[in-house]
Amino acid sequence: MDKGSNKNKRRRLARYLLWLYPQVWRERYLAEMEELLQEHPLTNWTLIDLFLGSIDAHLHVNLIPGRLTAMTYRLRNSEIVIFCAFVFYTLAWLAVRLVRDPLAAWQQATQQHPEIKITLNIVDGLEGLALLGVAAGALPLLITIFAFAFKKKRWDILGLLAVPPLAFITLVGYLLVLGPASTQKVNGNTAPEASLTPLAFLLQMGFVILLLAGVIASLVSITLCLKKSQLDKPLLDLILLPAGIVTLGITGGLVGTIVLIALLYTEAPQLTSVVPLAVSLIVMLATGLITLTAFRQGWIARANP
Amino acid sequence: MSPKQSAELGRFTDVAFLILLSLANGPKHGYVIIEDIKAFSGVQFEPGTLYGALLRLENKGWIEALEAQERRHPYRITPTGQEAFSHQFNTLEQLVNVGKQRLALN
Repeated sequence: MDKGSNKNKRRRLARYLLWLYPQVWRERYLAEMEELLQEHPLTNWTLIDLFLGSIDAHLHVNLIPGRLTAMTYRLRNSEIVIFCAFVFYTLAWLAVRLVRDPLAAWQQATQQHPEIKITLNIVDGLEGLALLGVAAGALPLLITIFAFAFKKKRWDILGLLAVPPLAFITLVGYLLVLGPASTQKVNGNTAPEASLTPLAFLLQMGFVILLLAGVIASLVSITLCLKKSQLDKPLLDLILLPAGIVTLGITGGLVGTIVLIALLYTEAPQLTSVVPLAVSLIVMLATGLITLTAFRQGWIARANP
Repeated sequence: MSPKQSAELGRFTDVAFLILLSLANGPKHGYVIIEDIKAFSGVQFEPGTLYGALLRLENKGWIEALEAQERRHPYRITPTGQEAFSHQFNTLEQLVNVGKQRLALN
């Protein structure tokens, strides 16, 4: 093996070894270390030294300047969990709202039992409250992340931020192109109870899968953005307030949904046949518990320096 | 650099002293620090060791990173760092004097 290829091999190895360092170290030192390695003569000892340095950095991660404290990490993680829980809660809420379908049966039932409609309106209102909390928390976070990504030239973060809009555009494109074909019914029948054609059924299933994939990809990308960006504690402290509003909206909505489902089963069981209410309720219960726990942990972290 | 402060730096004490000495005549970035130390002491530091010491010195507030030039932060010694460096320098001077006396070099 000639000297040139040995040199290139060492350079590649050195670059891999830098990924053994903790993320917080890489955020602070990776760029300048890469520059240094471009100029520094690389020997086997350099590689061993880099490896030992990575162990040392892991053992002394608390020394790294600009690191987040344990409480800041906990606070940030609590807020990420509340945000993710909100998304799954919303999917379950959307499924519950299908009790209005078919509309004629819904109208007839709610004329006889207006309390069902009132309860659903309350659940909708609480979802709106939670959404408001997400918007109030997301806006300062997005501004901070954008500012950080542009200032530090972190194109990876900007790329991750592009995932949710891209997922949204893909879903809209799917609906625009394949929407008409996905509502085709057997023999051109237009009655609401008529069966879908196999193709239409497949397209609708495809939409659900695409929706779930889009939601998961967006959640992962936003979570990574939050983890890769430098968010200081005062900002995270501030965002815990909207997170509290989200928690209130979700737990209130959960109680409302329990009342709604009880009313549906006792007063209008014909409306419960179409919607998988049990699945929605389980998802809502899980997200409600997760949100409450995360908010409690965030609150404790907020009170600590 | 008091004995307690030296103990906190552990195996990086000597490296830290050489870095402070290198930065004593102006800010430098990582590669220039390595080259400078090699020129005045003959010691060749590897990058992993250098950054282990830099993060400790930065953590103690003895050096600070300046605004990045391209992708590199030059480092500057702080007033606290100068004080710690002077203390260590005086200790070394005493050691040299004791060594000279005992070896009867004067």
